[in-house]
Amino acid sequence: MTDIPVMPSPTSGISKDIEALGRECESYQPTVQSIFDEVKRILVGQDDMILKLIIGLLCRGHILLEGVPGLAKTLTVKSLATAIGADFSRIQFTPDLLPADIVGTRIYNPQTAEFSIRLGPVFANLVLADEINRAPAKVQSALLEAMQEKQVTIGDETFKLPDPFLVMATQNPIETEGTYPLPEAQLDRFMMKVKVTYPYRNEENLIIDRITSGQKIELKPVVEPAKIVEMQNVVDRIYVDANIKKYVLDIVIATRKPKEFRLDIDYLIEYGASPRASIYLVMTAKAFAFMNGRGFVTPDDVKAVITDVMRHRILLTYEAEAEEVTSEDIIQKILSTVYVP
Amino acid sequence: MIASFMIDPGYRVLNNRTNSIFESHTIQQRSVENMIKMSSRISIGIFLSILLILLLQSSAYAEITGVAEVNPRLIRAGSTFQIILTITSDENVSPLIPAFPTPDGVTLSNGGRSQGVQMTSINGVTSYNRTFSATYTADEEGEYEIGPFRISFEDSDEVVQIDPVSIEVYDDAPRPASGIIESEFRFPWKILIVILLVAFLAALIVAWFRLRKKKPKTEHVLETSIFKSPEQAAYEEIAGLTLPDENDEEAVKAYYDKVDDVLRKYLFKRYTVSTRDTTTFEIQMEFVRRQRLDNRAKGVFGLMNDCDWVKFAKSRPTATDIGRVKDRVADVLLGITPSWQQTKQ
Repeated sequence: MTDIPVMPSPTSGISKDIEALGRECESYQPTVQSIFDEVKRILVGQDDMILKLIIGLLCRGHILLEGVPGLAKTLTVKSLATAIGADFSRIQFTPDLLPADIVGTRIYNPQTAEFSIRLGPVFANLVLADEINRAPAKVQSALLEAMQEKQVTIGDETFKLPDPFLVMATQNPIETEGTYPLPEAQLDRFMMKVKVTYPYRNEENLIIDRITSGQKIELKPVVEPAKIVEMQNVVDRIYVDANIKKYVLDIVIATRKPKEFRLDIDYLIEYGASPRASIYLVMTAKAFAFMNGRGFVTPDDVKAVITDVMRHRILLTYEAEAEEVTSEDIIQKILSTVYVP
Repeated sequence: MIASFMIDPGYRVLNNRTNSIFESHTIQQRSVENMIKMSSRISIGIFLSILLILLLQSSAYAEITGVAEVNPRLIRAGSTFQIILTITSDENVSPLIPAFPTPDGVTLSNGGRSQGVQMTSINGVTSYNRTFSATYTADEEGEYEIGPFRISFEDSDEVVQIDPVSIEVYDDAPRPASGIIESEFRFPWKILIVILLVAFLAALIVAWFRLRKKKPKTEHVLETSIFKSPEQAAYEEIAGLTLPDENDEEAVKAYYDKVDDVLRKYLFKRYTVSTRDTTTFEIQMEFVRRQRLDNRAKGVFGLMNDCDWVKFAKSRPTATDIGRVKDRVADVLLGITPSWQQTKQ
């Protein structure tokens, strides 16, 4: 599933708790693999997207998916929800959507002369917010507030959102007319921004065969939502050494003060990454280490997730846009300069 | 050559011609003699009369200078040259056309004479320039002196004498029929060498600044030489590290960090692989890609793996393990199997 091999054990001196944690992580590897394999039964390709969604699930972080229509974004989220036995809801964002359409509202029952609460589609384990950039700002704010607080207030009652709770929002990068692009402050709330790409030729060949043949594949749950919560708790306990934290901080601070790291890119960066970048980098690296059966984080784990975590957090200048420099280029430049511990 | 002429204290004429000019002898103007001291017994009338006479006499004389210029001075036989006489005065005097002497070997051209008048007023000071020019032909090779030139003036007995000018005539080759003067072309080697030197120096300076800019503040370099291989240098650097106390977690971490750093420097030196910004796994993958994963490299990666466990996974090696790091490095890099390993085998 991942390219990083398990590190061979040292000759001696291995920490007992790290060893135990490593064994615990290894015990969950079949579970994670089963989720992956179940989704792959219906999905062709897009391994990276599935992997990142699982990481989001393990870190309790929300994912922003960006890709052109027809790349199976909705199908992936739906399949993942089925595979983990979770509730799934899809919200199609349109310009006329209201916040109450997201979170719910109070409805008056004339027979009982009372108001009753109708919960909105956000009350699901996995929520797919399709084309989030098509709805106006107040609707986006309603969803983002729910994502942040993990609860919703309707009237004078507060309702907690279910656990696990994951929002996967999609943005269509090609039809931007009449849309409301998410501002940078709101983009920052998403743990990762995953770019979905076209399938390979052989994969598309398989897609044609599968869809045009009328083949129906029914997915079944392979884990329970409670198991996901268990794994989330194990991920929280993954050990992160001070060297790794220093490495993460060096990378994030390099986006704010490139000159301190002998980088000549300050004219390309308008604003560097916020502290959320440091937090999410560590969280996702822990999830990646967990998926590799390790009880501790290595610099490889950080490098594996950094692009998705940082790409939407670096605000570029006009000079960068004029020179066609992307945030991915800047991240690679930083990685090639900052010393690995 | 620019010549400047001092006429007398307080009056200076600058000549800005770019052709070669020869300084000429300046004309001393009649100076007014100072009056003698009056005794107490000479009457004012006699003094005033004498003074009046002197003032009238001084106003009759203007400040006049003359200069002669020849162009060119070095002439091929058969070629022409020009002599220009310039008379400068502070009053509008009328010099008569002077006679241009013609010594043997040069001929005065009939149609080559001209004259010109120029008045300039600078900061309220007016000066008049009158020029007389004549064209000569150099007939024979040799050095010639033409002049002196005597300038007379209308309604005046004054005569201004201008010193002679000299020319040098060479090569009695006949004058080209087309009238074009051939000049000998010499490639400007000296100028080219100077330009190349300046360009080279400029390139050196630019390269130095660029290298200085790129040079990292902290150097990660293994001190090797022709007498010390990278293996020996790496071993010596690790052997020179102070062994930490096994109970001091931070010191143990710092020790293994340094060992890892030396091993990375060794890999860079020996295998030319980028190691400062790459993880242990990435370095290994690079070796696999380059098909350079020999036994020595595998041994190094084993050591680096142990260092990673200490750096990232709270691994706590014993004092024995810490003490054996140096021996393991000697085994991997220098092929010196430690005694404790031999006993094990």
